[in-house]
Amino acid sequence: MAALTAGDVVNRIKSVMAVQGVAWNDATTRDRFKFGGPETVVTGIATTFMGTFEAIARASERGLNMIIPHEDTYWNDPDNTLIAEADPLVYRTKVDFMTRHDIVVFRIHDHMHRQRPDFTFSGTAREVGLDPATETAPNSHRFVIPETTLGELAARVKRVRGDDAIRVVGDPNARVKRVAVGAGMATPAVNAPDVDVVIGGEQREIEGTFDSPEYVMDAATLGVPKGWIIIGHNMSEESGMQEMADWLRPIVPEVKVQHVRAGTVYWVPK
Amino acid sequence: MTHISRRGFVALTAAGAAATPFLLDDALTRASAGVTAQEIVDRVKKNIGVEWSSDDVDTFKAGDPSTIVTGVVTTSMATLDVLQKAVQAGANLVVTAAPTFYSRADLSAPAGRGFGPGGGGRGQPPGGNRGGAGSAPPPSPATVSGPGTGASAPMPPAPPLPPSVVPPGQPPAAAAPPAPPPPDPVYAGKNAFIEKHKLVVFRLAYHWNRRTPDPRAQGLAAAMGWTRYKAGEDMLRYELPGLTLESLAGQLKKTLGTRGGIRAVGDRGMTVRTIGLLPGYTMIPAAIAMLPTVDAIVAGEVQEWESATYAQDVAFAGVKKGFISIGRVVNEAPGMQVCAGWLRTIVPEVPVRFIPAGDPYWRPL
Repeated sequence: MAALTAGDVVNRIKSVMAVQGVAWNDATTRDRFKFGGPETVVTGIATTFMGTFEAIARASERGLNMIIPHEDTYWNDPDNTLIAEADPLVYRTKVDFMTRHDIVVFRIHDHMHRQRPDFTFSGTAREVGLDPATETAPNSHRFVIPETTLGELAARVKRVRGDDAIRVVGDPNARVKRVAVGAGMATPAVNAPDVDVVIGGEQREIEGTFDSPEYVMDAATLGVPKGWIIIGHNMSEESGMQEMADWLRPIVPEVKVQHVRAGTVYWVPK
Repeated sequence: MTHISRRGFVALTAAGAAATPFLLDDALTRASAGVTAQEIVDRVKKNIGVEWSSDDVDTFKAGDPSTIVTGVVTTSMATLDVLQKAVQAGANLVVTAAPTFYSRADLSAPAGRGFGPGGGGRGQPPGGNRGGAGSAPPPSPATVSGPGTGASAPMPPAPPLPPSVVPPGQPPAAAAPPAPPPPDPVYAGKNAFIEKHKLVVFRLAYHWNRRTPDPRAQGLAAAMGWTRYKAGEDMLRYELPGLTLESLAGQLKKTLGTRGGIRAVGDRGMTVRTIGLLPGYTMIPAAIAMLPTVDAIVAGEVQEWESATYAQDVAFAGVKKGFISIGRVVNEAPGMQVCAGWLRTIVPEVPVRFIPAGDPYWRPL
């Protein structure tokens, strides 16, 4: 039997997605090979949030040489290696490691967000402990939870996620029950009248099309119950890569498929 | 320094006035009548030391530019809390680094909900028109008082609420079915406070932050006591007595008064001697250009998948480098503190104070 190649894996992803209603868009600059190519023989697959050095090394330790990250590998969204090559600290080390360990990287971003459910959202909801039965409609990303305070909800999210660098805006005593979940930069607007609190990934602090931090601060001053729980880009999209591993497993039965975390980005000072 | 000193400014205006006696009378009249917000902004444009471009960022965001200014407040972000403190301090001109109305566009009513700038956002009572045509809703004392609520009966006296939630009365626009959704209560509350206190808000960010040295870096170094350690004239680099990355982050948190916004990447125990600043919002090329030349970067805001994961990769490879993000709003504060000092030199007529918006973020237990 011929060995499984990265090209085989990608072709299967494309055809299964097409069957499930997500036609492949060849114009994508994101969902492409970022290191290695279709001929690389695959020993195992690791899904991860981003092609961090840590994710690649951990995957390689487990005998997984095909990395499927949701985000980029070279610290910029188009994965422009000219930008990364300017770095003398780690770029060469990372590339040498990938060469030595016969790593192949294929990114899955745009098409993953077109799947239903979008695993980045459903994974986040699962990992922050939102009961799927409380979602207002399939794929609405809106949940109605038993009324609690913003402070209690944020503490719960932090406890179940186990990450320190969670940031919250708003009055900790605000009574909240209607939750909107975001993923990555796709943060729902916290000023929607039917949303009390947004749990999301990352957003520009100011100068966006809608700046949540200032809005929620003003809401707190006015006594309007609003809250924003920012778990981070990594933390919001890593979860769904578990679902992506589960989705891949049956279509590549020849090799191990595992979710390997890209690692904690931030720590916080005392 | 590129700005003109106070003495220099007085000398310049005196010379100008002497050359044009007709204008002198005008200037004296104005002086007795006070200085307007527009006049202050004109002085800013003239003295800031960078060419004033016709962008839509550094403009008036609220209020009447012809308002006589009683006092100036500079701030990192004109939150309602800052506006309230400005009023308490007797100021009516607020100069802010960040937007006032929750977006770069700074529209005083939310976009996309049927409340364009001309659509009646400003001053519209919260909850007005909620009941739809023909069924005047009972006024809710929690949100509404005064005329404009649709109630035909005389209103009871306004309840003792924070003034910011009591919008000034305005007749509703001619009712046109279907009734629009209720105005966003946060926009409405902020607009009402601005109107009630006749505040003027001007954004000064793009031009101010183009000054050399970068006022945010200059102010941050001054706040941290690093100015004597500066390495180079751009105020972006400092050589400190060694300290650990963890103590550096702890000192920043304590001195800048951050709460949950400060986050760090790298070995906590590594020694930091050289620090590089990346003020404001920066992208990956800036971090790649700076990190190899310093032990640690102190940045305002970056995107997580860019500079933060770059630092994560560097640390994972065992290279002793640190990266600290203090937050964009926190980073604008020291720059606007510098701005208050500068404004005092060109606006001698009224008090100028700096009031920070603080760190937007807290961290759950």
